[in-house]
Amino acid sequence: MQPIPYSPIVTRPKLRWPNGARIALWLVPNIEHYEYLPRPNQAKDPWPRMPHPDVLGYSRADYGNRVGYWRMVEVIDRYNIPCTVSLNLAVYEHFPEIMQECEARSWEILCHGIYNSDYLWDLPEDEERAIIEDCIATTKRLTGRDLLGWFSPAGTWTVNTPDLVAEAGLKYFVDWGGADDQPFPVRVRNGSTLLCLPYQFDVNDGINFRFNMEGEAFARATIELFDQLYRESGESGRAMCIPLHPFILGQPHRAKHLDVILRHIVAHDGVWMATAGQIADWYTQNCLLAVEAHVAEIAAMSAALAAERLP
Amino acid sequence: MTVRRPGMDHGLYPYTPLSTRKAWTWANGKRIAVCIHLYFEYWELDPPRGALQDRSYDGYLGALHPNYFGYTAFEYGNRVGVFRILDLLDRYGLKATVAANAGACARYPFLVQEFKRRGFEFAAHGSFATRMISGNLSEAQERAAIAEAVRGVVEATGQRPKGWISQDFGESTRTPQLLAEAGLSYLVDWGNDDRPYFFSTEPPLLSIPNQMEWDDVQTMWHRKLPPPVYVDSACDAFHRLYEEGGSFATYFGLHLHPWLTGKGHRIRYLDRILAELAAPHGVWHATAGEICDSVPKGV
Repeated sequence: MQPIPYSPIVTRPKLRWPNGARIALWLVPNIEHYEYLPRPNQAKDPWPRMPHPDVLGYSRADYGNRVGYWRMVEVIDRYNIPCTVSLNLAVYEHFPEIMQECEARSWEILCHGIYNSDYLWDLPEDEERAIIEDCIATTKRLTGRDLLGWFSPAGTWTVNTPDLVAEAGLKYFVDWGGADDQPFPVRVRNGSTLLCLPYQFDVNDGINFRFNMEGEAFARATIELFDQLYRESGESGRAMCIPLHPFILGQPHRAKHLDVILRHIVAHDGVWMATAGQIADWYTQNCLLAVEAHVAEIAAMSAALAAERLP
Repeated sequence: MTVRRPGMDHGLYPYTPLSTRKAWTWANGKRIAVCIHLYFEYWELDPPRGALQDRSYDGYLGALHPNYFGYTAFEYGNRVGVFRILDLLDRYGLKATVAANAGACARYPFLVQEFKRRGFEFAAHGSFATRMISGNLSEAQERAAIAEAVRGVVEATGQRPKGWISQDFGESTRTPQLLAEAGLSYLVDWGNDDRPYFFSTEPPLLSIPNQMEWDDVQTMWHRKLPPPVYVDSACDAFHRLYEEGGSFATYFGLHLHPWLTGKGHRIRYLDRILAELAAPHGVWHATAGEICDSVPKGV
């Protein structure tokens, strides 16, 4: 497991998006299912409050698939934005009505494991590899399409995850998306490049819910982040992800705040509403080589400075 | 067992209540000294087993291994966030005192250059964000950890650090004395005062307050205060200390973590604080080392 090669954003080659766009924006409903009786004795207890089941936690999440999803779709439809679904794949198996709605809108699948209560923590390498293979096969079986991207279920991972995702041939990886406001390449153990896409956890409604941040403050933070990235994107392009959860932002007191966010964003020129696969393709074809050269330059400069300091 | 008698329950410094203290002022006549502490840290992707991390980060920045949230958040600070903070400091003409992990110095020579170019001061700040000093270490291990951290700063910057800021306030009972013996002159860990004071170490080590009540991580991360509330707290504290600084010098430290305050949705709030700090007359913007040199002996 190699650390991310260092690349300061201020000296990186300018990032250009198609048609002169300033920001590539990907909207990501996390469509999840938390099991009633999850696999016991995991490294972390999905329902730590009490012996399973936990109706408080389970039904709060289940609300998303019964009600919140439909309310969220109604808001997104007003703006006709293509989504990338961070999907627990079993949702499409349990709730084909949801799959039908997503497929009707041509929403792309970003794999988010099978269940959000089935974690990768501490899994042996072969078991983790089998899960990734299951996800690739399940996506193909359900949709006929290849799986493009990986985001480990519930933000749970192992030291092998980036290597296994790259070896499975996926196009992009989100687990390390907190590290930048532009896509960036990392090296994995088989020597190939894995492309990481920015995934700004700070404007993730699920995380902010746990931080006691309500809808209005969430909308303000998201808009402030967009405005800052938009300002900076005059120099060089930026990518922004807005992760959403139907069981959180799809609640009756919060749905209006998603509308406020989307209305603000679509009022700007130069926003490329894209799916993650489109962003990854564009970046790989148009930007990757220049950035890899930059990374090599920074590494050489760092080595030279280190050598200079030696007595 | 703690003995119930007048004075502190340790020998690190005597109890000197404000009511009994002799007032002193900054030599340059300013009311208040202001210091920007900029954290320069590296959160290891794969820290050694047994290394101690601040348990306050458990949960979202979880205790489970590997912690990609922590790793990528700190990496963001060094790739992206720090440059937003540097832009603002440049705009206000402010120098920072860099709390530098030896591990960050080794990994990011580019950033060391950026800080040096601006004339920033470097203070030693342990080795990694993922390795605190604590009572778990033996005296020999702690001495070695201090020496390694200082050496890392010297090797990367060519400057001998004058002071020390512990990673996540991590100390053992021995830390101030060991720092004094390692040749450090100030320590920025203790949030129990509005003015520097001396520890009873040999030689005397200066305590520069670490005012955690408006530290960005303690407020916006651990306590989850909304950024505008953090701004109000910091500015209210500054104005009160500014007022009090007329007859008795005061100190205001602003502690900034690029992984947190350098985020796109928080940077504007730092702009608001810096605008307040820059405005009034009688404010001395200084590095911690300059402040350390200006504190009268024996206060």
